Amino acid sequence: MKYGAYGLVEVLGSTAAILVVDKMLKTSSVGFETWNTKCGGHVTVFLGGDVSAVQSAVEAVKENPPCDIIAAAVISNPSEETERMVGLAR
Amino acid sequence: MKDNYKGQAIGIFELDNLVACYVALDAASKAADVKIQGVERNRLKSGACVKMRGDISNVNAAMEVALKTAEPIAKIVSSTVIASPTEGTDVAMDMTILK
Repeated sequence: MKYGAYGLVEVLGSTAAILVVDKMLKTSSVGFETWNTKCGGHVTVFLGGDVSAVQSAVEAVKENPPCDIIAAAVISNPSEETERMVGLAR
Repeated sequence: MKDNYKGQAIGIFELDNLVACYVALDAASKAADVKIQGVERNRLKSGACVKMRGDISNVNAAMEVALKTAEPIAKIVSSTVIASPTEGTDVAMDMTILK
C-alpha cells in the first residue's frame, strides 16, 4: 500500500486547484498524487501521505480556504481497488 | 490489462459529488470482494457514477455499504443492481470508462 491515506479536495477552476495544491503541500508532508479535471471546470485534487499529514493538510485548507472548496474528504488506509481507481484518474 | 467482467453482476450508483464517490467506493471495496470497473464523470457539475462488478451477493453487500456511506455526504442520484447482465450490457459497461 503506497499511501496511508488519500486526501481529496474538489474546487472550481484549475487556478483554484493550483492554489489549494500549493497550500496543502506546504502545510504538511503530503505528496501530490494526481488531479482530475472535468469540462465543467470542476477539479478534484488527489493527495497521498500518511493519515495525520493528509488530515492536517485537508483541515488547513478547510479552515481558511484560498478559494471556495466544494468538497473535501480523507480516505484512510485505502483498499487496493481504491488505489487502482486513483491511479486511473490521471 | 483488460480484466474480463463478462456475465458478472453489476452494481452501479451515481452521486452528485466525485469526492463522495471515492469515499463510497473505498468503503464498498473494503466491505465486500467487488472489482471496481470504473468511475465515470458523466455530469456537467461534479457528479460521477461508480461501476462495481462481482458475484451478486458481494455486489449487494457492497452497494448497501456504499449507499450508507454516501448518504450523509452527497445526494444519491440513482443506484441499481443487475444480477445477470446480458451480452450487450457488458459491452455498454466497457465502452464508457472514464471518458
